[in-house]
Amino acid sequence: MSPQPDTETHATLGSYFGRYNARGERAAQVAKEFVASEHYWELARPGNHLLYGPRGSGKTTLLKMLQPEGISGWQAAEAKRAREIVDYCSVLVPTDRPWSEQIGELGKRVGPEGSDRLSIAAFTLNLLREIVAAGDRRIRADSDHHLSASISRDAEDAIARETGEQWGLPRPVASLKMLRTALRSELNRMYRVVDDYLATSDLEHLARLPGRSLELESAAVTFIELFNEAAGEQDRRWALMIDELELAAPPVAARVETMMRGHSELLMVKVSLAPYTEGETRFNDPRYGMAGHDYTPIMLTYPNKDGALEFSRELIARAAQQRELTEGPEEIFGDSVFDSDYAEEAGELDYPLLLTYRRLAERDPSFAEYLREKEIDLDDLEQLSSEQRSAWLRKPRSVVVVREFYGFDVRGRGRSRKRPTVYTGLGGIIAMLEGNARWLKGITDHMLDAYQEQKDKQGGPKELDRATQARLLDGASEAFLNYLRMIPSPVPPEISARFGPRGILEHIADPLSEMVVAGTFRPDPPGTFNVPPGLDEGILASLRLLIHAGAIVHVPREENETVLGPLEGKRFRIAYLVAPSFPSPLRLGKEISLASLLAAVDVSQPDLFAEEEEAEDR
Amino acid sequence: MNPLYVTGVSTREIKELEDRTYDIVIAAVGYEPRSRAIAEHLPMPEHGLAIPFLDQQEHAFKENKELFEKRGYNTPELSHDEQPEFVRQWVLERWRAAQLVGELRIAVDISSMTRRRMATLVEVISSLDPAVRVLTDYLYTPQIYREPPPEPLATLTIGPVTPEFAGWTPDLDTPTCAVVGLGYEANTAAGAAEFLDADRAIAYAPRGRDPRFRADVDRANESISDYASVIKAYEIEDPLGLLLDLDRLAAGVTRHSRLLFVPLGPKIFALCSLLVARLYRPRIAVWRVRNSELRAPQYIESAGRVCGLRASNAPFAGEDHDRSEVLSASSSYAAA
Repeated sequence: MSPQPDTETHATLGSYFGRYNARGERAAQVAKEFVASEHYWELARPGNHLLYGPRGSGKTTLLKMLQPEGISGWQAAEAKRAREIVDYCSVLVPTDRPWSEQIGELGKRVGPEGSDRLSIAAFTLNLLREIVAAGDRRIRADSDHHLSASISRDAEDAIARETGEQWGLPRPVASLKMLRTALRSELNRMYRVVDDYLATSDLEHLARLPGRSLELESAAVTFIELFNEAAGEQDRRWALMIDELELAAPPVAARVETMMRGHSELLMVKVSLAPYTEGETRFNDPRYGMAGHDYTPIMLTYPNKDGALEFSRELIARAAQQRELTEGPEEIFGDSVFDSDYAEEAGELDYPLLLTYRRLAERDPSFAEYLREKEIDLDDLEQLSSEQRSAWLRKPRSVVVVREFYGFDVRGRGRSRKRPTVYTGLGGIIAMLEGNARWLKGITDHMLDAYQEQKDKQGGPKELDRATQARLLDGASEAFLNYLRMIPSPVPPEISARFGPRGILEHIADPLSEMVVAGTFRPDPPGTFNVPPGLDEGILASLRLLIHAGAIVHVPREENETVLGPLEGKRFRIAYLVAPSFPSPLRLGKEISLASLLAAVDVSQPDLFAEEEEAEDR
Repeated sequence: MNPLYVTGVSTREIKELEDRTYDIVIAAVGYEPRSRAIAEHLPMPEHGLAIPFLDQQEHAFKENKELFEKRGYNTPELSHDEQPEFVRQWVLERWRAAQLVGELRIAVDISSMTRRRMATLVEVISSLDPAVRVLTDYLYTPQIYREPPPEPLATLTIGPVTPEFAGWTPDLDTPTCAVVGLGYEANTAAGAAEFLDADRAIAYAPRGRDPRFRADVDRANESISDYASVIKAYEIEDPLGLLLDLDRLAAGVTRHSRLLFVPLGPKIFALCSLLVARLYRPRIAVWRVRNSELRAPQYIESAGRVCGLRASNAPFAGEDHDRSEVLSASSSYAAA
């Protein structure tokens, strides 16, 4: 049953985009619905990679699909290509917020120095567990499994014993499974050691912290070399894939970042990261590795809407096939005025579009003036050259359509909302969903449910009713805006309405939208903004949270420019998903300074990081 | 780990507290009249501690503070960073003095406390050496119905309530299960569930005597079913029932998942979460959510009833079970 946005006051991301998260799924399960994007093939290439993108953009899915289990479970024809390219053994090291918080809080109890030691030791022990688990799975796998390894029981015992000894484990172990269990015991012992230290304040206890003497990279290589030797694969490379590095403690992140300089012959590192980090990142610091040189950055967002077209279309087509629908995405959703080739075939404006131009000219004196100025007669377009038609009419097409659709209904914050039928059709839907895997999967499921229902009732292939498409897009957009209010933000409550993530988004999106639908007609209104120097730290914090959420999309000026590190000088746009609330022509447009967008807002807040008070939850 | 024995304090009229005697009583001085309701009816304790909130000293704050001071309570002004150590030392001092008699009776009024204050007290009291028998009544007076606050404009913090309740699970690949206590602040629980991104979520919906409260909770949490696979109801005035239920849940879930309590809504859910987490230490974490809109002070009055839980570090003697009308003999349990 599709959600009903008429009750959307409480619409959540979950209701529109589902609870899908690859983290909780086994790689073989992820493989069943996997659609390979260009990003996947880039990431699959041997080498160090930095994968970054907002929540839901598919970072974990891509990493899981490099694991032998993911590739083995992948039934599509492209799996053969993946087997050839991914000839290294990928080890996924997950992390998550509760785990990172538990380490952080335990660390607080032992002081700064102990805390660093503790977080590195805990991470190292977990990483080693995952490496051992990956080796164990390869030994137990069927021979046709990707990278299955043939190692005798005796050889396995020898690997486990030798590794356990070199890692300083307290007791000898005789299998990879036991080695893994022993590492788990060490992690458990870590908590007890801290407890003993807190009970006695005796620093001797901390000296016995498990894993404290292990050096991450050399400990990993110890096992890998023994394993490779036993498997007869001396040159087999292994990839450590660290998911959500932003959640790791700063000393752990620093160590991983250093490893990305890539001096090991056996190890490569692939890291996924939120598009910003709370702490200081060392990426792009020459001492720790440079994008394009030591590692390849892969951005999972699409600044230009056409960038996501192929992947999104394929994902929708795959979902339709799984439901045994014979129609393709174009037939199900119909065309859209935002399709890049819309009306191109005719070489000029098609009739419905021409009517839109005429309606706007009748209602909007400034558009009529624009036409007059250019000496355009909508009843006699033949007088214009092909170049003139392209520059003056087709190029501002999406602005005209959105302005005509929303214009004069817009009254600042109190605007009446319209169902966004203007954004329906395949091209509009794909643009709004930004190539975000979670958004695409969720909304496609709802739309295909509705399509199936409509088909059952009405029979025969016919595109999904535009009103239904609009209702679902509108609900999804509203749910996303609700979510932005719930993101934990460091901005204090007195001013969070204006300077929290949701408030800042409104401050940016509102004027950009007004320049499209209100005031004097502009054929090429600003659609992107840059961040000036000297912005209040509270506003910058909200911007970073918006980038992480996917509400703001980075528009790089050059190849390898990442959004990590300072935001100043970088260019962004608002996510098209919020277009139903902040009408947008879904194109980049000109660039404007964030300072001028915020000019009407009093940003002279004295301290956006006032000391935390106690009035939290009384 | 000290053993913990718990039984219920069944719901009674608040005036029936007048024949209860405690060695020490700990409360909070806040802006709501409910803040002083229990202290008003308890006999003057030998030692009382009522820590004022340093901000939002409005509504009934002045009257509350005067009442506590008149009844001999110590009302030190402490920042929240200073409180844990002060409370620890203050309680330890009374514990040392109680060594002669071998027993210490404590009442903690959680009605106006933050979750962080509650966590500190549960931690301090549960850690006391069992050389002295410590009996603690965690008391709670439900509020008279008030309309829910407006939907929060922003969430400020989500994270462990204190370092002691951050939990500890060695395995990163163990799935996470979030148990969320629902409140009547719209969308907060769903927002927390979305943010936590747990593999599984279970929600607990509070039920009170006023049907309007129930309707408010249901309305504010229409969307929680998008996240929670199970939604259970609990009675605010049956804390022991809730405690036993959470304990059973924890026994099952902690075998295969990392368990995380997110106690929104009535304080009684937070108390039960903290006690269960203490019993299972360090496997369970308790997190708090700090919302902006909740900062607006609300004039909350006591409904004139009291309920709660009695915890002890030693098995209950018969008279502690059945001693008075305040105590319930319905159940007790212990865990090492």
